[in-house]
Amino acid sequence: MTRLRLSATVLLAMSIPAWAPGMVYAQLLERPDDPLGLAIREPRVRVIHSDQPDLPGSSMHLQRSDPWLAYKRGHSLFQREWRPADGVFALAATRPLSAAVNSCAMCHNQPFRSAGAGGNTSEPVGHGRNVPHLFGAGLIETIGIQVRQELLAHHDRNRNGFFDVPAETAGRRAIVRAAPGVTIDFGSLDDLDGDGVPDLNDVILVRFVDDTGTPRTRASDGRPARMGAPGIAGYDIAVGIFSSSIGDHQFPALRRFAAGAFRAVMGFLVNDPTSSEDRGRGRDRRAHDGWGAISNAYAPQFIMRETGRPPKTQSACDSPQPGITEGEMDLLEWYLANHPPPARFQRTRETERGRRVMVEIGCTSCHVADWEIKPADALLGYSGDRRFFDLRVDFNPNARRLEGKLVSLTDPVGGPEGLSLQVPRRQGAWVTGIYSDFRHHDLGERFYEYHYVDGRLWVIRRFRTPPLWGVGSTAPYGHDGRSSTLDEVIRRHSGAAAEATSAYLGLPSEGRRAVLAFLRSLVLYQPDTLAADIDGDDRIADTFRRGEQPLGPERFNPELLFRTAPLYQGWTESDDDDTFFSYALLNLDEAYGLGMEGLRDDDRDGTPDILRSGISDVGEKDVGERCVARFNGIN
Amino acid sequence: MNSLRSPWRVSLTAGAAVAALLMARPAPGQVAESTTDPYGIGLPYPFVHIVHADDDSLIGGSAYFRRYDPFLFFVLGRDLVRRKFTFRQGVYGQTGEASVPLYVGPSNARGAATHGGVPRFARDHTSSCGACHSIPYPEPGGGQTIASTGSMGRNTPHFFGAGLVEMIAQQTRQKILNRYDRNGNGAIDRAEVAESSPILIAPSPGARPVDYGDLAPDEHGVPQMNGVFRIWYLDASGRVLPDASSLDDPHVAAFNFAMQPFGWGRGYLRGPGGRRIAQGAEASTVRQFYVAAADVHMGLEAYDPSQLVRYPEAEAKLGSFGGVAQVSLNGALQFDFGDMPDRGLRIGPTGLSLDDPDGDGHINELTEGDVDAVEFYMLHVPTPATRASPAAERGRRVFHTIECANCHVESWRIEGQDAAKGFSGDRRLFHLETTSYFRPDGGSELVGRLVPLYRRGLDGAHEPLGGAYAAEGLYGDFKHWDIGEGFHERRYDGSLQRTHRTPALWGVGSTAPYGHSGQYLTIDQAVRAHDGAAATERKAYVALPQHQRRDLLAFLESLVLFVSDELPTDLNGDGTVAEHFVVDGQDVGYERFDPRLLARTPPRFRFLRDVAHPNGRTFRLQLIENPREVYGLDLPHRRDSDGNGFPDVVDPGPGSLDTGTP
Repeated sequence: MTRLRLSATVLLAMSIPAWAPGMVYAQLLERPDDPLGLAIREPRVRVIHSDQPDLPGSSMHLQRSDPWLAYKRGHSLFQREWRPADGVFALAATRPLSAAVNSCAMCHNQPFRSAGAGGNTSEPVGHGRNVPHLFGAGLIETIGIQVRQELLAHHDRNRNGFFDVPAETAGRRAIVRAAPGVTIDFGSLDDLDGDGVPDLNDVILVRFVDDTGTPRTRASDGRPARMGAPGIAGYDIAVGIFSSSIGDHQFPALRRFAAGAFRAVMGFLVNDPTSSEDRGRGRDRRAHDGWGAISNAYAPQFIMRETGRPPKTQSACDSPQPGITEGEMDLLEWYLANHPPPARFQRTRETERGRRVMVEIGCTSCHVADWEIKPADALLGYSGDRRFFDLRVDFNPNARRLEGKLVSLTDPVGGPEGLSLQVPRRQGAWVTGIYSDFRHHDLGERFYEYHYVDGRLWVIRRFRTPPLWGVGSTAPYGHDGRSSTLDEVIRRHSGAAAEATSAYLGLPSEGRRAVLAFLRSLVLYQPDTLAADIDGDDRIADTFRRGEQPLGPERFNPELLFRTAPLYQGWTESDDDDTFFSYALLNLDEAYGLGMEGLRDDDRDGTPDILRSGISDVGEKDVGERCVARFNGIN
Repeated sequence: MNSLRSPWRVSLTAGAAVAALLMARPAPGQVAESTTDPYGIGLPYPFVHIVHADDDSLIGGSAYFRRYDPFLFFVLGRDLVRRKFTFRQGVYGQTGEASVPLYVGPSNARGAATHGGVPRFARDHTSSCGACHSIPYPEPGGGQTIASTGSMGRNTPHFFGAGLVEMIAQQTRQKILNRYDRNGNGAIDRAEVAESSPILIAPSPGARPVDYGDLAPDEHGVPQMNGVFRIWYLDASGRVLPDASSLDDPHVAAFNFAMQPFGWGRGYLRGPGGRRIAQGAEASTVRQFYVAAADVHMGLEAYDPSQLVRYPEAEAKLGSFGGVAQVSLNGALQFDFGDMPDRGLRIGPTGLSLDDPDGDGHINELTEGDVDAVEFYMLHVPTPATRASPAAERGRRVFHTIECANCHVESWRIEGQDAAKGFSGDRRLFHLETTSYFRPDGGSELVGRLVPLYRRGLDGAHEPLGGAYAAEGLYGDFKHWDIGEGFHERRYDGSLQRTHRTPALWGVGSTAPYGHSGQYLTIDQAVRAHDGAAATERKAYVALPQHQRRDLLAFLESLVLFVSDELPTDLNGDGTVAEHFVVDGQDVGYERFDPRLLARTPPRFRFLRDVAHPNGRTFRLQLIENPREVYGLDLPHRRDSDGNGFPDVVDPGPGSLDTGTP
């Protein structure tokens, strides 16, 4: 630890004269001059968190006033290859395995430069877990939020935020409506098997609470909390929707998922009060409910660790901060919550037949095709569709390629000092072709996973139905990646899927082939090079322009949509006897807002100068206070 | 048997503890240490460097393992590739301060040192080879794409069959020398290529020769060899002239070359007067490939004298292009391009290098013996398999009909040992042959057969037979080609790399995405992107009736990788795969390619339970009880009493390994 700290300090001290801008590495290299325009452009600056768009360059300001810049910065955080000076591997001394990789994108990698899928992690020991893609992850998170709220809406009659036992649980089932006429049963709210916990599907996390709604791991008699125990009034739930089984990334929110990866895989200190600080309810804030803030991206944050502890504040505002800041978590969440969903490749007679066959043989009873997102509703706690855009991607048979069409999901709202803000409408939406019920199922022995711990053999029997969107691009298959092809993984199903599996096996070979052809048409793609109509004129321009500036072919590159249009070098002659359009960026500071008060970092130490120069210089006392409270607490 | 429950549901049951334990340490990379992995994938022993020894009587040294315990040697090498390294073992480095250029473009170390090139990599991608070579887990498969010389990315290739690829490259070089090095001095003298000297290599008997260009110089004095060859120049006394780039240089009397079948290719550098200088690829040998990758991606610098020329001391510095180095333990001729950073400039009392080129306070982060083991493993990594089907067989014919096989050359022959011709023969000690069978339910299963390629000495020694071998179904010519814009790479510096190596297609069904940059997500897209030198073949492909195109794709998808550890395999040559294979009187489950079962001291297992394998077989969960014996941790040249990773015989004692660097 000492050695690491030292090297980080030395790097900080030495890096300024020794390394010119652009000589920093990244999973995507940080190269504003990248002629393809696909590299990370901007230097890392520890973005300051804000929940109001006041301080220019702080997270909420970027999210509202320049949402594409916020999105692109989030993308950079995901793709960036972190350096010791950034604080990567800082936890390695105490958790040696946490120094596994230096970038999110080392695992979420395919297709490159997206939040894609990957190989296996080595944990848990044995076969590990296959890395899922995160296309459309924000929609999945929204479904998770909605499942909880819908269950509370139906069953939490006294609106105290949890299920009173037994008044609101006896004899009740946790049934939600995925779409009109499509209901999904998440089990019983009651404890029919008498084991002291509700018989809910494993995807639902249960937390016992006392009559104030505060989480309790123990009853008042000191014994483990259980239904009906003294001092236990009921339980709260969250949907651990990103997990493939219990014990694996069982997080209800993207933000916590990302923070966990930063810590456990890259050894970062993460300072994210939004997802870790239970600020309590009521006027004296004494009643803690185990929930953090609702993030800037409208996601309620379920606190995973034991709650009720006050946040730790370790250092003053003007010391360099080694970890990931809350503002950076805001932008990373913004990127992941808005990452477009997978696409359908070419629809053929065969793929459409396959789609029908899947319904006929019962695959879609668990691989539920569509979910409806309900509009935001403050009373019921529905978040609505939280995204700021939708990208509809489809196959163009004439051009033989995927093409996108960008649809804005925001309304302009006036902000401070004449600023125009983009605020997500949070309307209802359809999530089509996702193919999951998000429940955990027992699919028979061939999926079971065994662990030997504390002298005993344990088995995990149930695994979450994986969403099938993107499945054509994400071999290998199964939570453990042990099935190399789609056909193999289908054949591996039995247990709860036995009927559908035997129906699949009983199909004529053309039928099976059609199912596979359909599944293979559910694909991922590289968003940043995707030909797309991004200005809503129903065409994809050969040369997209902002003002007079030619910006290359119209494509889904967030840079083209920044508040300040990028300025590219343009037609250039190379040393290799060719002429090409160079996307080397000539106006980095303006396009990426490097001069904004909250981002300005003249000494290039990665920390905004505003935090170094002291609170008084900020001019706004509350910003300074937020900085103290939020920038420095380490948890 | 216990079922895991959610920790938040029943917070204090043992099940919760287990789930919490699983969650507490997730980390990608590849395989962690574990003595309690019932699947036998976790590495049940601590990291201990392997001591290099040419003398096989040094028990526990690398030559000993190769000769007397080759299947364990394979496992030891494999585990170095799978293992997740830690800071304690020197992973990563102080990248910003490293005084050495890292894997740079202009493509060699000299280039960076002299041209101030920007380092490509920062030595800290990951702590395990397996983080990128990750599919299928935990094999040396394909995997992640990373930024390289440009932002389009560089996709990780698999290295199944890498040993055969290395042998093909060495043999090809040897054949060229046999034909044109008339005076037998090991280099090509100017006089020897005064006239046109075409390089035509028949990959297998009767097959159309592959045209690798011509040794004779072009108008700039540069031999017209395909870009897969890396060329360097020599003076009349045979000394390497590191700054020479042409036969026109008056100091130059001859040139030498290495074939570099590993890596996608580095294109050309432009020299004075429009001279084009091929930059080869990443590596000539598996040894070189491993050492370079361990350095640039993990910050583990090997001190590997096998890859160094025995210089006069003054020239041992980084960037000293040495040319032909040593023949390695496993019989591969090594080359020194001056880019291996740990060069043993300072040697400690027990022979360890004290250089610590990445300045992280850890010396000699991989030993020559470690590299011996990895080389042995990579030499023997199984070749990819074929999942036969009628459609695939039809597709294979289409593949030939539309002449994909012009470049994707189907088969290569390794010539048998022939000292006069300089052929080593097949240097492997065994081959894992695979066949696919249809199961009654219509699925197919791969089954292996272990083919020994050694003879046993009376003392239990394993001697390679050195025979000929037909590497079938490889589908590559290793040449660098310009196949059109769809495969060009615009690099950070604005330059355009037009040529890349033909990838061998074996395993292609398991290694999406495609192209060196991974920009094509399907095989169909990758084929359609061909143009340039492959324009005719692409047109033929597009013009095929749909059913033939589908057959062709079925064929390509039938070329697959697999998980070797669990592959049902006839290990003992009795013609069957036993459901209950017996090792040392113990039923170890179905007969499979777990090389530990063939180790000198085989594992003793504690039976836990028979469970269903995804392939439908019964798999035995068991724990190894004698890891110290199996992995030879108490052998004289392997014992590591203080647990610092250096065996006692090379461990100079506390304090002696201090480099003075923080």
